[in-house]
Amino acid sequence: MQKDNALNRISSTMALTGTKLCKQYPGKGKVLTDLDIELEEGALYALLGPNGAGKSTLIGILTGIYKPDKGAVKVLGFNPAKDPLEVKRRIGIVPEELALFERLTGMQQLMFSGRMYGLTAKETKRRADELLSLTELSAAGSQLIATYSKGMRRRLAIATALIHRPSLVFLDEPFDGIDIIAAQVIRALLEELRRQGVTILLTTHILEIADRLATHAGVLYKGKILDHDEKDKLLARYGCDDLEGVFQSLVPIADISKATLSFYQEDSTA
Amino acid sequence: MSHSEQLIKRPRLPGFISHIVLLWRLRMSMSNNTATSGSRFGKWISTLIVFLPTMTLGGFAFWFMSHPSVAQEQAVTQFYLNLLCFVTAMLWILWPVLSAGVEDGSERDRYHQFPISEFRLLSAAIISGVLKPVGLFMFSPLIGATLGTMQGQSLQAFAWSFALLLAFIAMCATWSQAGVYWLRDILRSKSNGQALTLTLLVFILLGMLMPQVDISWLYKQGGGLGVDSSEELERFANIANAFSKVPPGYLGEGLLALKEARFDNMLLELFGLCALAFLGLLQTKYRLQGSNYKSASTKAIQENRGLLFTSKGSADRALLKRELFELWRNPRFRLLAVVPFFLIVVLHLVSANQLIFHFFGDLSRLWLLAGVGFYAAVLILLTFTHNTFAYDGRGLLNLINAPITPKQILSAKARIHRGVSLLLGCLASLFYGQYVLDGVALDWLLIAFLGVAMIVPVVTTIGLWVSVYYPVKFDASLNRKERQPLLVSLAGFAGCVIGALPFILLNMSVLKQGQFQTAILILSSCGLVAWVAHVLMLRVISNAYDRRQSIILSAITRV
Repeated sequence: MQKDNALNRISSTMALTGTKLCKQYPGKGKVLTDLDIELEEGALYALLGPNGAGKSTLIGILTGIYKPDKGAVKVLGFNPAKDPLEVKRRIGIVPEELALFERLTGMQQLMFSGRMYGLTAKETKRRADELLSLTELSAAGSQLIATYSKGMRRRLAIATALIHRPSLVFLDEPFDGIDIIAAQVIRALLEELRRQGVTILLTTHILEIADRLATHAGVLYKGKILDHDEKDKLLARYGCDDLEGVFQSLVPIADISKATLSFYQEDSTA
Repeated sequence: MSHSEQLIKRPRLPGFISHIVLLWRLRMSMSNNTATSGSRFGKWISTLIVFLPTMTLGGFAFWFMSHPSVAQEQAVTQFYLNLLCFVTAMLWILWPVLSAGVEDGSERDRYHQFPISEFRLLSAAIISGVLKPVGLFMFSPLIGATLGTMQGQSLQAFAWSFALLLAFIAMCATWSQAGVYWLRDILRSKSNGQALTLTLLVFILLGMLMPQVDISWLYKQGGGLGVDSSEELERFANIANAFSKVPPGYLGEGLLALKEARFDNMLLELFGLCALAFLGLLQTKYRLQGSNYKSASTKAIQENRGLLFTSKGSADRALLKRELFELWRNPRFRLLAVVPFFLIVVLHLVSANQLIFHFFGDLSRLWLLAGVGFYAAVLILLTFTHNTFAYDGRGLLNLINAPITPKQILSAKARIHRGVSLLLGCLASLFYGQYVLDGVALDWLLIAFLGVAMIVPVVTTIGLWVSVYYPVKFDASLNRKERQPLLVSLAGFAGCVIGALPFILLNMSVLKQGQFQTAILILSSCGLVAWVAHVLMLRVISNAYDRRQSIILSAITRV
């Protein structure tokens, strides 16, 4: 009861809070262990971590796709496990594995999405045009998504996640495997969202981008957040110039500087 | 709620009907987008192509059931009605298996970002699925038959018959959807090969124990709709009774109860249908919730793959092993390899082959013997050889980078695909000969095998040619991303016709006169020509593949 009251107090200033979150998949061990996370309104939080750290699972829990085994979550004042629809109508999700309808055109995808959130056809069309233009997809709007490149798909997925004007956006690896132009468009889009006061949780491997965009950062490793804070405070705490330094200070990285390829030293002619 | 969120006025979420309409329009848009002709005229033509037979079937069912010779005798009405319900339900529920379950528009990950509950999504997806043209095509005879049966009844009776019909459709739709998920789970499971083989073996075993349906009365009767004797009437009544005991028969029984003013019985049948539909819905929901689990890449498979290339051998041998393993590892192959045998057992159990023998004569046994072999072989070739590089995906880049020639790559594919399809084709014929025909003469078996051996090189050649000139990407999962153009499908069809032509012509001439040895000689000669042509064409296709490698790679790996 006390915890609930505390959560309610925090949620008035926080867009998102998660306390003592635990998640375990059958046969896979613990993915998240007693994880705490909070996200201030209007912040761009970069969640950093190696593959398998539990980033996607955490996003799944925060967006109501998975239920945590233990712990409490509040997203924009709602519990995603109890009120998933209330949460979903207020948030935007861009998953790592893009789930677009391949046999729709870009415009049809946006129209369908807008209508699923209860927008009128006219309003959806207006927003879709603007989003297609902003993501540099106007010309491709009438083409089938099946013909899109990975960067185009990623941009469309972000447009789809924004059509209903979410207050909080989750982006799971939005810069993964895309070209420079797509990366620039997405970066500009994130900056614009920040200006509009949208809260963003972003996971990425590309620390340089996180450095440039994030106001807050956290390092997730083996299901636990090792540290998180405002970016400047984190940099000061670890005496680093960038987030890569913070990451390296927190996550043990194997020393491979003395590794050798023994077969290159052999005399054989094979 | 957060401060900024309080300032935003959110629109009301769509209601149940709006969700159904949205999902229905989504499906229709997807169908329209992939239709072969994008023009308005083309779409009108496709609509006509779907609706004309639908209306005709529905109209025929109405005429048939209201025909005096059917309507006047209760046993006859009951028989035809229950038969129709049974066939419709079986077709609808087994459709995912027969179509290899490649289409599934309600995978949860496509929708999980939208504010729609799982149960709402499932129900709306099922209902919108029923309202697809193929759904209407499936149910229009039932609607016609219901109207025909209920002709002359009160408006209230019509309303109840509509409720029965809806419950029946709900039952079929939910169990069909459960079938889609069930099939998908099997195909994605770690040991889908074992599961499918076991299912087939159990099915064949049960099939052997079960007696065949006796349909001899059907063709002994003389072709009339009604009955001529009390013996025949009793037969009709017995079969109709048997049909009424299984769930699809609940609709027919309910309608008859309604017609005879047995209201309690009708309610009981309606309850049965609703309960089964609800069970189907629960089963579907349970299956849907399991859809997040991924498989395919299991430790066991990886270990086996590691062992695969440890033995000594040339690059050609390694390529052959890779092709064979890739084919075996593909769940769609495992399913399609099983389907012909499954159909043979079904054909046998329902005595459909006996009906064909009766109407088309003794030689139709040979047609079917070879036909099942053709089907088994062609099914594999049209699925895998016709877009052979698509299944390699990015792996094709490894082959291109390796110190091997394009001819070696293509030759390995051709050898494995034609070998496997030849083997499956001959096995299907042999199985049909032994299981259905209770043993078959050696010359017949040889003719069937030679027929398969003739069709395989032709379809393989066309398949490889199409793969080089019309490469299309397929998703790594079971959902197709793109469809091959109509021209490519027609090329495959043409290959089948050309490959089967010698057998068909011989059946219409030499074999009719019982000259089996001559037929064997001619088929062998034709087969020889086909194989020589195949080998020669392989060189041409290899050269084309060499020139078009980069185009193929970009087509099949485009994300």
